[in-house]
Amino acid sequence: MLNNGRVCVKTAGRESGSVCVVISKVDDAHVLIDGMVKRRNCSIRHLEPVPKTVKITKSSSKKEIVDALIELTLVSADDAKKFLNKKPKTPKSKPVKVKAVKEKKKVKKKVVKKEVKKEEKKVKKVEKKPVKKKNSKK
Amino acid sequence: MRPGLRTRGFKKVRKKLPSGVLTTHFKKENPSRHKCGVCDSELHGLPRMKPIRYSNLNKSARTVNRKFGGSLCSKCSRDSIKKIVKVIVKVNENVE
Repeated sequence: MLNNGRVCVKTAGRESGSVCVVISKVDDAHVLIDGMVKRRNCSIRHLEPVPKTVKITKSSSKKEIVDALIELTLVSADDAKKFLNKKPKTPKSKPVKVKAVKEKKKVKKKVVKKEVKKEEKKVKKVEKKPVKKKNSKK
Repeated sequence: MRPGLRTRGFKKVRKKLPSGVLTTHFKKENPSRHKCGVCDSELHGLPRMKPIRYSNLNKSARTVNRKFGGSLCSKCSRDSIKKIVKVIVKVNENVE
């Protein structure tokens, strides 16, 4: 039943309802199909044959097969045009983010003068203490 | 259940406790599963949500990528395609 050139309709999967043509037989349960679908191997159970045939060979292009289907009035010309001109989706490239470079703050130099003053104060305090203790004992 | 969730969005269920006291429990319920338009069997691959949340989903999440996907099951969609093919073939034969 499913010889080369037999027109079929796919009944299962994402391409269900689309018209295709059997190109060659792969094994007992599978055939190679092309037409308004992607060229691929397909199970016989997923195809509904139509009592019409098309003269094609394995080397015939997708456009030749679709034109043959238009002649049989199984596919409209507008649908075929849309299908053939369909471009594969490509993922959009993400815009590259550029980080703003911050200017480094200027580091102020420490002043050395303050340390000198502190050392002087400590020396003064130490001198006063022993004087008070002597007075308290008496 | 905490007081903030005792709202009308939840379903009230009257329950009898082991002590014999009648109480109200607040139960959250999802809508029923999507069913096939022909054979009433449950459809796969579709989420159970309230219509407000369901409408916010992507198109791909709300359907099955197939002819009649999301409304008919795989068996019924296959049968309907076969019927359509037979009708188209008959029409073409009559035109010729």
